[in-house]
Amino acid sequence: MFAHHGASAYDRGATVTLKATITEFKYANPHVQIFFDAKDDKGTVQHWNCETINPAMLSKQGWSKSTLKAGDQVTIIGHPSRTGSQIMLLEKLVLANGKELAGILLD
Amino acid sequence: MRNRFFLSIAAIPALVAFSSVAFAQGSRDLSGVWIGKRGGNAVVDTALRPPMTPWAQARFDAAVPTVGPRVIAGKENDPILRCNPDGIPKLLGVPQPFEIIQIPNRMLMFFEHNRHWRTIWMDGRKLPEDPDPAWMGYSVGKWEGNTLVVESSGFNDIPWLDFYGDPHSDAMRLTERYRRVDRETLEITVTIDDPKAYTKTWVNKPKLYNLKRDWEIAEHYCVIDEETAYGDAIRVPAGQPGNTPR
Repeated sequence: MFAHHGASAYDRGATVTLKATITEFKYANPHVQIFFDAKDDKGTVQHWNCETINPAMLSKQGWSKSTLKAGDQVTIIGHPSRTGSQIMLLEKLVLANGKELAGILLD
Repeated sequence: MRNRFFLSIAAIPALVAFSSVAFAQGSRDLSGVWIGKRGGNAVVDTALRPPMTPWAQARFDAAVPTVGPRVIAGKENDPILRCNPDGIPKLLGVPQPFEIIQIPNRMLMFFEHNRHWRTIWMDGRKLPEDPDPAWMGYSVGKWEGNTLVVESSGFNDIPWLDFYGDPHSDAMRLTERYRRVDRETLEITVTIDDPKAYTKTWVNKPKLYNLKRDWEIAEHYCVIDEETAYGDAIRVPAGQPGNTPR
């Protein structure tokens, strides 16, 4: 459940998987924000903004302020904006060590 | 001896089942950290919504929610986007937990969402005759069997009832029924009497909440600077083509 703010802007039927290089990690309200670079199919580096739920809830599922830092190489799986802007809603993050972290509220 | 041993093993599931039912039937203890099943959902059912008055319809038409079929990305105007407090019953439906603490003559509810809290007076007092408007209203509770019945009035008319823009007025009388179905499950049923907004009483289906024994309520505030930064970086551009700031 993602009841707040702008989840309808995302195409929940579409999933993109990107090899990301983190540029900034904002472990803040109202929603945690992950900024990263990723190459498109032509090899050009594109910038993305990504959001997930709030720190209070992510902290109950294994996240912390130290989960990411600039320069980290991770895999980001999420739902893109319907408008084609490079903004996405996080579904799941896979760290370099293989650890998976959900970006949605687990039941 | 051996037979007796196996008999007692076999009896364990039945005993567990019996104790769970006995617990539910005998429990006036609602204390603990609770979250709506599947992460929460509105405690009002829009499918059961009675016809609105013209006053409420005008408010509903002006509301642009952040979720559901009436979203206009970038134009959302839920009062929470300006860090207005959410009221009751909307707080019961946010995807974050609340903690119930029972003390003599009072029940306290601490909502993780934006660190809101409310008192439910259990000392037998009546609702005030002509209350001043408040975000959380004024609430009194009493036990009917093992169901806690909470009556509230004295709300202001600013928060929505849910995330979809359904309004309420300052005349709203809210009834919440709390019942512990078993050790791990709480049921809340909400009824809305608001003649200024709805032409009939709005009776909703019961909603279920899970007990989270290993959770604690975390800090969570609405901070307007953080809302603005998030809106600029994510919420607004997500609804606009070809816009990725930074």
